[in-house]
Amino acid sequence: MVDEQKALEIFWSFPIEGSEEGEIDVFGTKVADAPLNFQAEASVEFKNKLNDQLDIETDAAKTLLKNAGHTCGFFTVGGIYDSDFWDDNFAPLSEGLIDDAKILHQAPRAIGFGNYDIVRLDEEEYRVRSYDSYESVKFLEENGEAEKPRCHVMAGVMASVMNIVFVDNVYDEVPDVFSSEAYWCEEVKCRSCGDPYCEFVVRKELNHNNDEEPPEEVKEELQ
Amino acid sequence: MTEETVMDQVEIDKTRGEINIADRPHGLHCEYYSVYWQKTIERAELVDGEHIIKKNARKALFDELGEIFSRKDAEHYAERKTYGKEFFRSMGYGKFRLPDHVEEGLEITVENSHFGQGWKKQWGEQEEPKCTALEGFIEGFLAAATLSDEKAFTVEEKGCIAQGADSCTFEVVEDGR
Repeated sequence: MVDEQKALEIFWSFPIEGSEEGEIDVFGTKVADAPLNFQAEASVEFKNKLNDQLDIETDAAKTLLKNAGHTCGFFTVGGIYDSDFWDDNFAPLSEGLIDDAKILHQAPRAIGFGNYDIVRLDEEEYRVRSYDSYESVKFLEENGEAEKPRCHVMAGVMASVMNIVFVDNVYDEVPDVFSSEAYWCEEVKCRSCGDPYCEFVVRKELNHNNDEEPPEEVKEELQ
Repeated sequence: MTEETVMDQVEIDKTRGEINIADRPHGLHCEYYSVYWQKTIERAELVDGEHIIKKNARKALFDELGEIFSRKDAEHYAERKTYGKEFFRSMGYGKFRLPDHVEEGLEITVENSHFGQGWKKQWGEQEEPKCTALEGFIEGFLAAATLSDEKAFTVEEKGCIAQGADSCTFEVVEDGR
């Protein structure tokens, strides 16, 4: 069994302060220590305004934001998975792909996106709970209770963990998240809706069974 | 850590997975996410995505830097400028050259812009400047540093690393104080 606490401690060794040149470099990727209120509020405003304008039933903004989160996870978490640092520090902790996923699961917690508990993690399903997801907390503060879950960016990040470990394994390009071969994520409970926690479910069949398949004009936005 | 550091405002809760700065939540975003998220919002032609990003960036920084300046007892603009520059550097947004005084027409340069570099790296040289969030951040900084209304300044990026420039250049196009 992988030592998840050890993995977390290794993640905490990453720098969070910029250099004299104003850059934070993690595995050749530049990161910024971003004010989460800024992006959470901008995402909510974008979602509300776009969906008001679109005369379709699909929640297109949700799909777009989730895709942005998936891309972030794919490159950032994927960059970790593909690095010499992984080989030297994380690989010795792991006995297989499920352990790899459990290690990568710690990354969002280590970089300030809250604590996520694994409910289930195997090749079929990744189910995670969060008690303080920043998107839901900020939505509640600013807008009151939501009708539907609101943690779209984190849902995309969750899907990326499974795609990196079980689908792509080779770090080359972002998979087509609407193919039946890729994992996708649905947030089934959310604090913004009054639930005690947010719960994310990542499975492959979510790609073609849920109501999220966007119309062609929105799909073009994802290219 | 310099004497004028803002890193003493950082609180990390390892159990909860939280990074707070002046009691405001922060998280590490990679350049890929920053520019994909921005592109997602700005490409949707049915909404004014640039306005959404710029407005919320200004609001967040005005609030956060205002709190930091207050905690630091930064009485004069020169002190607030130093903390502002340190904030942007520490957060990984680039190396900012902030003005000694603020007036319409002033230019602010930023080396190593997180957004400008990210756009160029991801999609090559761009026709237009791409640091929309930094426009809002600088507006928020200027307003907080001059103890003005949040919406007192309008800042536009005139040249960008994403366009092939060595650094990004921002101009104070309106001083509404």
